[in-house]
Amino acid sequence: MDLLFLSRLQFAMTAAFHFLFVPMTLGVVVLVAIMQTFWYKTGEEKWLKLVKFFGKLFLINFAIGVVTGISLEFQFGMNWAEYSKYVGDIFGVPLAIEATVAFFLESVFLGLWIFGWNRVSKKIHLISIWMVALGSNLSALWILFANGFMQRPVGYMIANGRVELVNFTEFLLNQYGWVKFFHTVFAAYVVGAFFVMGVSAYHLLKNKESIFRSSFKLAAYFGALSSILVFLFGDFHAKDISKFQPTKFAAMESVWETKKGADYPLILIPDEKNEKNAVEAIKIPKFLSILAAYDPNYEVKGLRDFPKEDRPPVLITFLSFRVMVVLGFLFIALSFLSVYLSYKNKLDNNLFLKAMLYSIPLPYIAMQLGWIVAEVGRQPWAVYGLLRTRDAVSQNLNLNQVMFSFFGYGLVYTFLGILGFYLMVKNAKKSID
Amino acid sequence: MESLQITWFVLWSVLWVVYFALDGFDLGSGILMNFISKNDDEKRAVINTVGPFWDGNEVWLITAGGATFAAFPKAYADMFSWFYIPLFMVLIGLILRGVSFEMRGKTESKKIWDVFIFVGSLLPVFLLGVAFGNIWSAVNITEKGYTEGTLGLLNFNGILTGFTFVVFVCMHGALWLYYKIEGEFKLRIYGVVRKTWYVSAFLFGIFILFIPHTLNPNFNLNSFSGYLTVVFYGLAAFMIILIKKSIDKGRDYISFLKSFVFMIFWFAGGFASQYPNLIPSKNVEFNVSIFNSSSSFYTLKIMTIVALIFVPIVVAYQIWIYKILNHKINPADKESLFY
Repeated sequence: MDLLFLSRLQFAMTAAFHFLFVPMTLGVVVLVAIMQTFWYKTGEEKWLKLVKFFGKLFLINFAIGVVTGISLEFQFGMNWAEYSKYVGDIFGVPLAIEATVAFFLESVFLGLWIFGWNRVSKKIHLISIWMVALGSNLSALWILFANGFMQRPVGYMIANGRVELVNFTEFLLNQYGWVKFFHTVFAAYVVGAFFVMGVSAYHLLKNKESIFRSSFKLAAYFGALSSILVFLFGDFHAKDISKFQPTKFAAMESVWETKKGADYPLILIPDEKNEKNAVEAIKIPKFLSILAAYDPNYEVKGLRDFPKEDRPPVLITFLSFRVMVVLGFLFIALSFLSVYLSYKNKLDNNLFLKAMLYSIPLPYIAMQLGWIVAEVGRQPWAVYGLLRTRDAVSQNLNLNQVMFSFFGYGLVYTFLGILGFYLMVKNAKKSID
Repeated sequence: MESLQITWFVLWSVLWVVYFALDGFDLGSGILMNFISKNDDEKRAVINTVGPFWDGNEVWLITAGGATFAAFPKAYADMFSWFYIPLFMVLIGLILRGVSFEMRGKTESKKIWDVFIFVGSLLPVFLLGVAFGNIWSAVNITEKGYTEGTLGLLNFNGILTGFTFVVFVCMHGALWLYYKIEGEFKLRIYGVVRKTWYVSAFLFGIFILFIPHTLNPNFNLNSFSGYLTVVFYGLAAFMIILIKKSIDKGRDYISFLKSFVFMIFWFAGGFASQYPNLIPSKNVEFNVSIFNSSSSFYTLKIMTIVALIFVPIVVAYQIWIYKILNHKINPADKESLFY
């Protein structure tokens, strides 16, 4: 166990844990804001009840999400000091802007929303939840600009022994960052939609006439729209990856040999050791080239064209990507089925409702897998092509310090995880009819 | 270039100062909560006074961290990796405290949350005090950086400054609660206010007596930074006397505001003394200063524009929300307790 490995493990653990709460924050806050808008417009009591019900679940989730976010921002300096020195001139900018523009908006207006019932006008109160939604989505935008730079550095030059920002406009127009932002945010909306549908389904199983019909229907439409958008932006994103991060693309699809007009094997088992695929079956002709660039004759780069020390781990990247894609299709199918059934007023099939209830974890899993593709697939680089992960770690830490923080985070996060899950289940089961 | 670096030293200090002045009162309330409340309703009242604000206050810390990263990346990397364990403990404290506010009202057992609120408030304040005590009295930096670990920070000046932070924050918190709470509980808080004032005045004196800044070889009383330090500490001393007058008259809102101004002056004095260094070194060769750790001219320029546009907006809506939610909280009125 060395310092680099432990620091990586700690970052993976704290980031993945934080990201269990972020997507629900992003998605559910929008749904709660829409519900509150309906209440504001129609004055119907059911929407108020639903706002309070899902608002409570949102707050439990938000509390853990917000506190676990602090340690991420500080960890760059603590564990990745060399990284911070080398790219801080650029990377610090979106982080500082995120705090100034987004975090304040989110947390200050959330305070007003929680404590403002009956103290401010209905209109101001409604605006405050929309401000929270805006703040959290803006924070996603800025952090994905930061991550976009790590994936595809733009607007910089190397000067004074570090990476310096020379063109902020170019940095802001980094297509990689924008597409990733939309892909991630719409995926978070899918998480929110499936959460609301799943919890609503639980209550519909008990009472078919419950007001949760309304929340189910709303979330179904929201989920259907979002799942299509995730798919579209994911497809755009793949083009950027094949263009700017050919090693990641090759690992995602387990491509070893460079080929024009590459086929897409539906069934594939990578054999990383021997730098080939053990099994490739049911090939769709030229489809991989289409996926890579909308061009059936596009040349897809294989991993053998790259030196071994520049390749990411293949198996984990490949598997994460495949499973994520399959889940993505499942979300489209399930949410369109949900739209159809709520439109037809046929939300009475217990099997379907149960399926929706147990689908709640699936979009979470898909998002975690997506981040594994993004971050493991970027290895061995911390900043693609510019700085290797092994050169990014702090030089003056010792193993005991990182061991201490690793187990400290592990302990506290385990506690928070159990607590969050327990409270979420407990409050999600409460009846409000 | 130099003027931008100086601008960012000022902005950097302002972010920290505002953080301590704002989060100070909710951290102080968190430290005091268990000791001043007679029953669960009173504890809830304390939590409800800070409920809408603590998160927004804490964002000033995140912004201070982010601004250090953007404006002085080398200082950010050095400070955070050198002070690794204390900073980790600060984060764990803030994590536990933050969830406790939210979860306490949603679970049956309150005991664990009460402990977390206390420890999670005390630990960050004390450790940040230790860190700044070391910074203000200069850190032992060698060509390998700072290598003496956590124990190296627990020297006399670090501990003294840590205690000073804790005590000031307690007075600040007590005055906040005195202002926000009404009913019989308020009368008891008044006693706490008086006690914390005396301890604060005493520690202020001790701090000035041992004044850690004189151990910083870069500190020169006959310089602009030296004058400024004296002026700020002088104003802080003046404020602490003014606070006493308002306390004696029982004017809750005014004494809290004065305490707020006191916190600003006191922290400003500390930051003024370390100019132009972000981490002053005992061996001046290894100072981490605004000149050798800053971002490029272009980045500082962009960050300045961003700060000039957005910080005033943030301040405006944050003040606005403090005004909207300026109602008093009475432990006897359970309707007013959300948490």
